[in-house]
Amino acid sequence: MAPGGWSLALLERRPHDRPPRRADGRGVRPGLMGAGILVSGGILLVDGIRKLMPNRGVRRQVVIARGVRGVVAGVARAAGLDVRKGDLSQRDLRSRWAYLALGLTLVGVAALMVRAGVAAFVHHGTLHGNPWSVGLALSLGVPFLLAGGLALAIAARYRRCPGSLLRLVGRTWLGRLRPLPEDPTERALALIPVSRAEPTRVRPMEGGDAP
Amino acid sequence: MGVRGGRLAVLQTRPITVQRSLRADDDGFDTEPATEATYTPIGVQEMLPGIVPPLLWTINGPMLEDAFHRLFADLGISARWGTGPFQAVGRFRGRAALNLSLLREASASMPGGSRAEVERQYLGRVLTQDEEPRPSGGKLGRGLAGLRALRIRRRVEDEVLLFAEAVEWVLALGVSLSALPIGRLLAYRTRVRDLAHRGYAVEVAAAAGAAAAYRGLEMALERWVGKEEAPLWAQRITAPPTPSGQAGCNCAITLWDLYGEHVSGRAPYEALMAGPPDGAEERIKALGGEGERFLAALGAAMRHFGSMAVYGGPTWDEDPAFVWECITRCGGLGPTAAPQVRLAKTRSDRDEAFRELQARLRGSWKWRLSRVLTGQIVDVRGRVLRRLATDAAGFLSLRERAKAALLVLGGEERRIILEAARRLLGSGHIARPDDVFLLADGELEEMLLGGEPVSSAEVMRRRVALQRAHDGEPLPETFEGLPGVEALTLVSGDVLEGWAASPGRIRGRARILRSLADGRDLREGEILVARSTDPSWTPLFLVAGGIVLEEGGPLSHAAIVAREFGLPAVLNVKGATHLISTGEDLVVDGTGGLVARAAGEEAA
Repeated sequence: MAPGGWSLALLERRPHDRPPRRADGRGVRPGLMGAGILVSGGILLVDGIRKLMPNRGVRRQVVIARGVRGVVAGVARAAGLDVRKGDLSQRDLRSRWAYLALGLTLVGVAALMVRAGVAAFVHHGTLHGNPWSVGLALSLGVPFLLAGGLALAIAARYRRCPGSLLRLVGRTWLGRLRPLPEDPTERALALIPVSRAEPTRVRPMEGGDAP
Repeated sequence: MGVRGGRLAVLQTRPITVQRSLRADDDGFDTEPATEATYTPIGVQEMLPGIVPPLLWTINGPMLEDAFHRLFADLGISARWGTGPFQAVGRFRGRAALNLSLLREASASMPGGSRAEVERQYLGRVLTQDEEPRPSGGKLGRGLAGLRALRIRRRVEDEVLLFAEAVEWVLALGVSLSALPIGRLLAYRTRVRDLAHRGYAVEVAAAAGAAAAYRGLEMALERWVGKEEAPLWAQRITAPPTPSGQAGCNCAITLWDLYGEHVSGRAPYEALMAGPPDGAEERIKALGGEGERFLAALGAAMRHFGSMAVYGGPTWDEDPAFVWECITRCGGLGPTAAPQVRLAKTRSDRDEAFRELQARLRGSWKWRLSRVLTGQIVDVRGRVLRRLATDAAGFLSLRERAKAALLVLGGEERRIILEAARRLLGSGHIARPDDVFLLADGELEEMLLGGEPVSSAEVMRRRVALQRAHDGEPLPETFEGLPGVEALTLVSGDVLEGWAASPGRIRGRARILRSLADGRDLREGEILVARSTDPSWTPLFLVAGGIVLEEGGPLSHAAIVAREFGLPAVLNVKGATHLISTGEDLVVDGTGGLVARAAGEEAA
């Protein structure tokens, strides 16, 4: 225990209390069983996560849609059609619980980092008295703290957040990517970057159409 | 140079140039075969069927060639490429062929690939153990190849989705080609071609992915149910998992829907059935409102189908006779023949087959014991099996979707070609609209930009050569160097063997179809016997009772569509169109890969 009540169990070395076992083949079966249990656990975990994420795959969908839009815009421009700008990366608010969980996690990670850096500085050990350990911990911890604070602020105010914060949500990972519209007309408007009112604005070149 | 006897003598040296002397059936666009390479028309016939005229070859050939280069580069396969422009594909006597030697060489480095697999897929041959070369690179190398394949797999999937959707929206732009000045027309064509280039690469990659995924499933099943039963189970549990898998059957489904919505029980029905299909359009047009609505919907659908077989090739709306024939046939078919009903049944059969397989595996004591010994709380192998089956079916769907989208885009390319032909005809550069197909892609562009036209004599020479190639024999199954005339070594008998491509058993009359136009004669329940099919034949699958083809493997278009429609199909039946006659009573056993004359079958 360090002065001031700090402890850092992770940095404490523990002596081997048992001699290493010899490889005699007796561990094969438990190893196989362990692997089976681990794989099964992994499968169940993945199943659970999938059930919790009904919107998974939206990011991929949006990336593909951006590609489609780019291709179609290129073709339309070549044909002389008027191409308008658009944004397929709009984001919405996540659920309030998600912000709360995210905020608490980020703040917790930030606190752990700062605590570990300070503990390393205070305790007798390799990094004792080294200001880099504190500097590094702070430089890593502060962004986490800020991000966590933002998430908690959004969780607290949610739709009543200030406009600047909502804009931040709409453009960064703080928000959830908006899925493409299911309705064919809206989808077409999102993906065809052409003003339908003006199909062609090109004038025939001199000499007319014929070569 | 010197002066001798008051005369100036000039000695000029220059490299000796030899122009390739053209055979009577060579229009000048056939490729020089790569040294000591073996070629086969099998496999490429689905994308480039029959005689490929110069324009379509100079558009499609380089894109297909490049698709193979990209695939090999992605997979890290170091093939011995030659120096000519065409190495992976070639054109001989006007017909496209694949460089089988290159595929054999590259097969060992492909995920799930081997020389045996290439022989099986393309030629239906089973190699003996002595013939099968040892895989190079060892286990580590093959493992790395597998990892590379996994990495590109997701990308291929995304690329197919992107390509298919982009094609839809490009068509939705509805560019009016006749209003475009020549510069814009060429720029538009370049963009459309870029997209097609991408489509070819995606289609070839998806085909390779489908082969790898399907083979992976078969190999897993071989371990669990044995070598004998594995191919059948693989067929039964790989029906397309999503509606997008229907892309290959889209034209058949659309025709059926149009019939149901606009014809069945309505005024156009009487007009349609009142006479031969040739005059149906006129009769329906005379009905006014209801008839015109049907014609408009049919026209829009036909334009949307795009090319019938080759990218940039003939479109459905150019020759609607076949479509009218198919629409008329819909009237004679019962509701159970509906594609949706068949697809739903295929899916329920697939789910049933999967449950049956799982129950069988879980019922075996070996399976249960190993599950207990390896601590599987969840049935991991069952999950793996489901995953493999979903992947294989997913890739088959992706491949069909990519191919269908490429043909839809081909319809737009065709519109551009025809617009170019209209302009060249107007300026007197060509004498007939279809002369444009006898030009190379570069020549067409040159002429559109006002360059020197290709002489009419040269165009005529190409036309005559193509006609001779068309009248000649098809390419042999495999050939080295220049193809000779196929020497068929047929084993006649009451039972013919081939690849079991789609399970089921049916008895019916044989109908030999030499071309799509012969499809008019196919009656409901007859066995369609042909050399090969391409996507344009799909509506015939609604009418046919079974499929027997001389070419094709378990992953070819015919096999996939036959499985989707639940038709028994046997592919790779050597000499089927020679050994079977129209009207013969056949039994097609798509489960065992056998085609029997009914008398022989009854005796058995």
